[in-house]
Parts: sequence; C-alpha cells; structure tokens
Amino acid sequence: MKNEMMDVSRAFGRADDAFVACVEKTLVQLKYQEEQKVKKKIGWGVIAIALLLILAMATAIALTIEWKHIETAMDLIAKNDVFIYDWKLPAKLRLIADMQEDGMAVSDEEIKRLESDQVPDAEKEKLADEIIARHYGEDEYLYYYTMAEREWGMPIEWTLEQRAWFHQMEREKGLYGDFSWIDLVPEKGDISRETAVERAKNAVMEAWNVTETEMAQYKAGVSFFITDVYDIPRWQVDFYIPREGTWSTAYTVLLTREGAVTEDWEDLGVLTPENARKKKEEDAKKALEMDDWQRRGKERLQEMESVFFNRNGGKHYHFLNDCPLVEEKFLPLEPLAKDAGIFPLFTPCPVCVNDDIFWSIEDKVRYQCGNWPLPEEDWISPDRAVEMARKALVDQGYDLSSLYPSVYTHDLEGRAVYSIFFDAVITDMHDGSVMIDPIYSVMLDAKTEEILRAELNESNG
Amino acid sequence: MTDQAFERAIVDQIQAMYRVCYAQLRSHADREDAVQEALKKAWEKRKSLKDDGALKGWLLRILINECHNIQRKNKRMAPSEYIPAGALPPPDADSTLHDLMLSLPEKLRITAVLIFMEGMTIAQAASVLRVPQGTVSSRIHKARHILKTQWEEANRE
Repeated sequence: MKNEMMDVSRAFGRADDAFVACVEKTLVQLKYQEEQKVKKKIGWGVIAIALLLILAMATAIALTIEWKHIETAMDLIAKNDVFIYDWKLPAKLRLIADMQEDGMAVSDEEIKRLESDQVPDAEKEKLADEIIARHYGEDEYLYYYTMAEREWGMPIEWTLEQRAWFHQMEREKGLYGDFSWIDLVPEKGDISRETAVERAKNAVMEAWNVTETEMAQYKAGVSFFITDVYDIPRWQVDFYIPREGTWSTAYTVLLTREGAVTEDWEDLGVLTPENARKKKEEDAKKALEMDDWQRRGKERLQEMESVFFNRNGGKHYHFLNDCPLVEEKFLPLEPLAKDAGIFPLFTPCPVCVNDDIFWSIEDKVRYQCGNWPLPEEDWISPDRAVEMARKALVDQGYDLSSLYPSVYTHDLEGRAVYSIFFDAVITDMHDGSVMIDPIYSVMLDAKTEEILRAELNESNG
Repeated sequence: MTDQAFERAIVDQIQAMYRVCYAQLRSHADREDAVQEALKKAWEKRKSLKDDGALKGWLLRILINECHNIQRKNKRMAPSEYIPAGALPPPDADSTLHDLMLSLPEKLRITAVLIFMEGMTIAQAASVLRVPQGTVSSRIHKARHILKTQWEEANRE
C-alpha cells in the first residue's frame, strides 16, 4: 500500500495534546483509585496464607489429574486466537470432553445433553459456558494461561514439572514466541528444589545481610532450565515480595546444576556483591523516574482540569447537582477528585446504571446532554409513536419479536419528531453486562404521525 | 507485566488508540470518553493479559467496542443526517488521505486503520475485530481498491 500511494498512516495526524493528556490523566486516576482500594484490603500476611493454601490444593489436584484439557485449549487457541468464551460450540464441547476425561467435575448427564441432537445449540452453548464458568469463573478474557493459573496457582509457584510441561506444550503449539528458555525437570543426581531454595536463601542472607526473619516474608520461585546461551542446566531461584498488588522480584540467585552459587550471568538481578550495588543504584534510578512520571501526570491532570470540566460540564453538573446519592456516597471516597474538583469519570450515577434505552423520555431529557424536547400537548404520545413505528416496520415484513423499543424526541429544524429504535437486548452470560444491538429504527412526525423513515440498521443489513 | 510496565505499554499505544478512535468518532469529546472507558476496562482486566506482545490487539479491541457503544448512543442523540459530516483534518494530517479514509464505509475504514496504519497482520486484525480472516482480507481488498481509485482520481484533478 505504501509503495503505491502516499503513506496512509498520515491520514489522521498525531494525537493532539488533549488526547494524550486524557490518557495520562485516566491512568493516574485509575491507579489512584486502586491504591485507595488496596489500602482497605486485608493484610498481605493473610493473603499469603490463602495463596499457600490454594497452592497446596492445586498441587494436590495436579498430582491426580492429567492436563490434556489445557493442551486442548492451547491447541484451539493456536489455531484461532480468541478467548475461550468466544469459541464456537464444537470447540467448547471438545474442551469440556477433555476436562471430563482429565477427571474434572463434568457429569455424564451434562455430556449427554451437550452431544444430543434434540437439544438446541443455544441451550448447549449456555450449558457449555456454565460448565466452563464452574471451573474457571466468568472471566470474559479466559485463556489457556488463566486456566492453568486457576488450577495450579500463580506461575511463580508452579512445580518444576508443571513449568516444564506447560512451556513445552506452548512451544509445540507455536505459542511460546522466540524465547530460548527451556524449563527442565531435574534428573537423578541433581539437587532437589528444596535444596536449591535453601542454598539460594543462605546466599542472599550472606550477600545482602538479610535476616532469617526478613527472608520469611519472601516467596521463592524456582526454575531449572537451559537457554540457547547456557546449554548446561542450571537453577534460578527468585525471591518475591508482595508489592503493589503483585509479586515483585526482590533477589535472584543463580546456581549450577550441582547447587553452587554462580555469577556467570549478565542479569543485574543475579547475586554478586558488585551486582548488588548496581541493582540498588538501578532501582533507585527507576524509582525516581517513576515518581517523576507520576508527578508529571498529576500536574498534567491539574492543567487539564478546566478543559475537562468545560467539555463535560453538562454531564458533570448533573452529577453534582441532580444526584445527591453520588455526592453523598461516591465523592467522599474520592478525596483527590473532590479536592481537585474533578468529578468521577465513569458514569457512577445510580440513575445511569442501566443503559439509557431503558429510561423514560423525561429521564433522558433530564439526565442527558442532548437537546431533546419533552413531548408537548399537540404531540402524539410516546406509546402511540411506538405503536405507529411498529406497524410501519411490520408492514415492511420485519419481525420485531424479542426486540425492545426505545423512544427519543428531536427538533429537526422546527419539526417535532420521534425516533424509535428497536433493539436486541442481550445480557452477556460471562459478566452480566448488557449489550444493545439496534436492529431497526423509525422516525415519524410527532404531530401528524407521518412516517419519515423506517429501516433496518445499516450494520445489520 | 508489572503495573508500571502496563502503564508504559499503554502510553506507547497512544497514537494507535488515537487513530482507532479517530476512524470511528468525529468529536474530540467522544474520542476521549471512549479512551477513558477503554482504559478503565483494560486496567481492570490487566492481570488477565499474559502475553505482553498481545497488548496492542487486546487494547484496541476493547477500544473499538467502546467506540461502538458511543456511536450507538450518539445515534439516539440526533438523527445521523443532522450530524455534521465533515471534520476538518488535524493540521499535521494529509487532508486528501484524511478525507479518503473518512469516506470509506466504517467497517472498511477500521479494518484499513488496523492493517495500513497499525501494521497488523490479517490474523491479528481478525482477532481484534472478531471476524474471520477471510472477512478481513475481503474488506481490506475493497478498502484498498477504493482508496487507490480515489487517490488516483484526486491526483488527476
């Protein structure tokens, strides 16, 4: 394309300052909101204990079942890279059959229904999603990786066998990218995982003057591996600490196959006295950069405040003045937003919980920014408008069953009109969100009932 | 991916997000609303993204959905024929290409953005748009034909 004509990438120009600021501001605000939530959560000690329990369970289960279903998920995703709940029915059925074969809780009765010719596909689809959700939760972004996490716990805590099997399968399916890292399972004569952790721990305590009590707060993740550069198997032990809602590497120790600490590694995180000093300097520099980035983001946020306020003034004015619930319950939880005079970005108003198609005309007029007029005395009623619209579409042979009508008003250069949309309303079974798909629309004169337009929505044609 | 890395990765995609929004939404305010809502959803789901290399497609898919939501709402705000059609191109844009791209039907336009502007493969674009690869290749064929023909006409004038 670029060889044949001018560079299409220049068609829209570059993002303007306001757009860039909008992204930065949103990130700052999201991070801030999450920090507030994290502060209210239970302590990390409790979470760590819970994670250990989950890990213990996952490990026990992993010893007794096969992992064919995860391989199947990889296989299907490799062929058609979509999230699992978006798979077609035959793919879901294959996964579920393998889940049952691997000993997971799927009853014969369920399999029978899924395979029956008498059961409609929509019902099978629903059942298949229920079975998957029973094991993996209703995560619309469910992927083979998240399946493994659900079953085995966090990747840092997977057993050496699980790591080796998982990455080998990823490689076989073409999902591993260009990584040359290959996880192995120790052979007879190699030191054990526990020995590797113990030796790494002692090395950290000695090199960084870390006490036994401090070490107790870290979680060890272990790999036994080769790469294209290091073809003799070696151990890497990472000590993780809970930080900002995830586990960050605090120390890394590399051991030879025999269990001796080695410095033969380019990574700054690996244990050597010199690397320890460099790592500290590097961490301090990164922290400064991050602080600076956040500070600039917040400054930008303040700078842009008036722009956002003005642009969305109507909407936000409603939040503060017409919705006491928001003022009472939401803003006190958002001191930054309140202090800065920046109002919630994301439609928190209780009135707005449902999509506007469900609102009355009065609410639409009251709560939206559109210039919608309220019906006047000489207009036909909204119900009559829907009736007329329905008739106009049915007369054209359209089937309106299961569609939800919503009514809007407009003033078109002095002419009062109703717009009526007939929407398919679909509740997403994964997350409960409501999807609205406009199928037909009709516009008619609000006084004379004259049909100005009655048509199938373009995107559904 | 750490939260910091995720933030950085998002910032790296600002231009791509802008182009996707621009292809679908005419007003600045709508584009910013779309990107805000998409970022909120991406942030909530960030832990589910295990393949860092897939971030761009994953993010743009969320963003495209948000743009659709806003389009849908806008259609109810005012009948389409009364919405101002032409937007002035940004000062650093090529005005001819700008108008040509905006003259494409939306489905062709967003496909063209992903392939021609974002450099995605057919498979990647198909994944983002949730349509078969054959559909993407058909759309891109049509978009390319229209753009090429109109570009040549514009240059003849």
